[in-house]
Amino acid sequence: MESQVSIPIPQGEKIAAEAMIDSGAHHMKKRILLVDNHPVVLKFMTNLLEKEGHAVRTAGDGVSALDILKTYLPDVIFIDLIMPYISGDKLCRIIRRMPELKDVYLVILSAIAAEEKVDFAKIGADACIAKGPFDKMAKHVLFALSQSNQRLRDSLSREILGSEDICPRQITKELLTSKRHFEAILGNMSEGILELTHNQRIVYANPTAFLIIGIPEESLLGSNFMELFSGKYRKRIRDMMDARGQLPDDISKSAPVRLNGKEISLNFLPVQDEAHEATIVIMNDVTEQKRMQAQLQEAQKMEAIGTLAGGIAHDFNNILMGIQGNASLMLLDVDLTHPYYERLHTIEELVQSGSQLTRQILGYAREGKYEIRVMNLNQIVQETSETFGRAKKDITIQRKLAQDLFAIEGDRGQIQQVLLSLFVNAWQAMGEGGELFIETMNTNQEKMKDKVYKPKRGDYVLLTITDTGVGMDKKTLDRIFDPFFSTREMGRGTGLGLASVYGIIKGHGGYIDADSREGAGTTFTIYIPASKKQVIAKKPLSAQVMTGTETVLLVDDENMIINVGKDILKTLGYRVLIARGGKEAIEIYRANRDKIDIVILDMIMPEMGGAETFDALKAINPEIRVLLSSGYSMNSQAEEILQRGCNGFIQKPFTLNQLATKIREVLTGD
Amino acid sequence: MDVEALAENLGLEKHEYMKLLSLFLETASSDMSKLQSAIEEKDAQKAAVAAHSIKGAAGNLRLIKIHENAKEIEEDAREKCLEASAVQELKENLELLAESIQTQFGSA
Repeated sequence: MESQVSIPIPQGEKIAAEAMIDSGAHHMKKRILLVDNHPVVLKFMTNLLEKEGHAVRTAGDGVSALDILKTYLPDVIFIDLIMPYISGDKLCRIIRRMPELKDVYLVILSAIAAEEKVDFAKIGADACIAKGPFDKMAKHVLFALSQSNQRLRDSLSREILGSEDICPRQITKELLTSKRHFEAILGNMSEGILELTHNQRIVYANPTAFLIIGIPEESLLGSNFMELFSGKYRKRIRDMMDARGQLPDDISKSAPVRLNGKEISLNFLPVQDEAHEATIVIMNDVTEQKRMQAQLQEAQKMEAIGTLAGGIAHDFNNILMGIQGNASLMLLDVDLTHPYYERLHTIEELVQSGSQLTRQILGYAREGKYEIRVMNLNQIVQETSETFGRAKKDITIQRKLAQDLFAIEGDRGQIQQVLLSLFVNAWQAMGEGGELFIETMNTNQEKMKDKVYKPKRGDYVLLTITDTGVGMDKKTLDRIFDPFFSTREMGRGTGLGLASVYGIIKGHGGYIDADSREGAGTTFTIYIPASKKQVIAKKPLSAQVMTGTETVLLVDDENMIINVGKDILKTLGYRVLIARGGKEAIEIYRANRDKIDIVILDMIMPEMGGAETFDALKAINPEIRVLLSSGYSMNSQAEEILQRGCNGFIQKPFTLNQLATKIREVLTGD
Repeated sequence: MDVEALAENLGLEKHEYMKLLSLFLETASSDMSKLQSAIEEKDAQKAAVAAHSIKGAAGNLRLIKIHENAKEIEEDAREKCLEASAVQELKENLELLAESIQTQFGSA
């Protein structure tokens, strides 16, 4: 029951200091704040200090103390060590960090000091008084006050005076140890933990909570939890608090609140003991999780649009095929002078435009490549850019094409479409005319390290297309590959151009990115995997329609295709057998296998599809010749059928001439 | 109980000391009910905290018996083997104090 005071006193001056207590050397009135949770201590201290002529205010806990300190700047603060809500050591640290209170004289007043050596300097206190009988305490309190003038802070002994008489008590040590143990656990949690009083004042925050909220401890502790959030979230948070942990965790996760630029999920746990009602708040930063979720949703949406678009394009191609076929057949019967000749030609041209559009949709839907050939990109770039240059004379085209460029594997039509889309894009960006730089070169995966995507190993062909146009802002740049995004006014563009460019390049196993600055032009960078195969010179499409007399089995579930196909084939000189499905095709083939020279097989049919039909036909006759036809573009399914020995693929809608050439290729094995 | 001697020992006027004593009794009685309910709920931590509060203030006021009682209860509670007799003794000593204050006020 001893009371000790510990004040930094120069060595050897202890006795002199003792003498000072009664010397009345400190008559300056002081403003004092007392923080202690025991009314008896507060009452005694108030009486003592007021008798000495000081101004005294009291607080029963740390939160009230912080409230008082908003408007009252004391010269000296006495702080009890163990208090509810905010402990004395924490309060000291907080006060020390408040700029307007950095010079306040802090005195720790605690029974703990008698039981364990308190490292009061470390928590920012200037002196430490061990609680004891009031007569002894009074002396030490007054002595501490006398010292507060001098603020002897540095290089002085900070021993608790008389501490040699004290026998540390195990119990209090344990109390402190278990507290530190929990602090260590809370300090290492990935969740932010807050403790709130019944009126939502924050009295505890773990380090993660400070990070999430972004407010330093001294300002956060004692502040109102609700005030952290903008007005629109407060009602919801209040509702969640009222629910008191009854809401399942995922409700809070699916509808997080915004705080400090982050998406935060909140959980509230009521904690109640005799003395007070508190709430523990568990905060989780779900920003990244939300972002990933949004990204996944976006990807799923794109995929759904792709599937839908692909399906529509397929049906559309079948219809176009019917129109195309009928027009082709009618054209065979009319000569140049016929009044309908021009109109029929227009129909054919319109079908071509329509098919160009479905090609774009399918390109976006990434339905694979139509017809893969090994080719030299330079040749297509040269041809396409020359054609484009002739049409747009206000644009100067500069080409720098690598001589030894690697071959690539791809669909010529699609690559042309990519180039044209990008050229048109550049032309639109250069309203006043300008320059278009096209460059090709060999590269490899190692040289693509700084890209956001992770390229597969191997060699690539690099194509860059740079214009000197108006450029784009970041917002536009981020969206240019989105389907149906267009900067042109409604109705002027489909918004599919760059989206299908993206789809096509992806379909070729390649990568594309765009770089642009407003007013400084745009560069598109395209990487396409290099092929080790040799470029085969393309055979020119014969001007002469290639006819034949063989027997063709035409398999398709669409009447429209059957009708027009039959007529085209007959016109070309072939004998025609018809099957409206896979099973019928197999029956007919089995009965007529010696007569039938070639099967034209639709890929997508109800019940028995093209793939299954093909396998059955192949089982009947391994030497069978089959030309696969589809309103879908060449996708992985078609590719598999080709790998199993199918002889060719033709994309609907096809012209009479294209079909004629294709049949001859398959029949002659060319 | 010699209040005057105790007050003098603490360097306080008698009336000051009396005020502190009645304030002490008020808080001690609320601490006692916390202690009782803690014992019913078998909450050793809560019992220790309540005893600790009584112990501290009793020490401040040089109420040696009460201080010793409360200290014993706190230590027992920490070791989770609380004696009912110790609590009873503390209660009796607090009642004694209350009575003697009553008479002091009456005589004053």
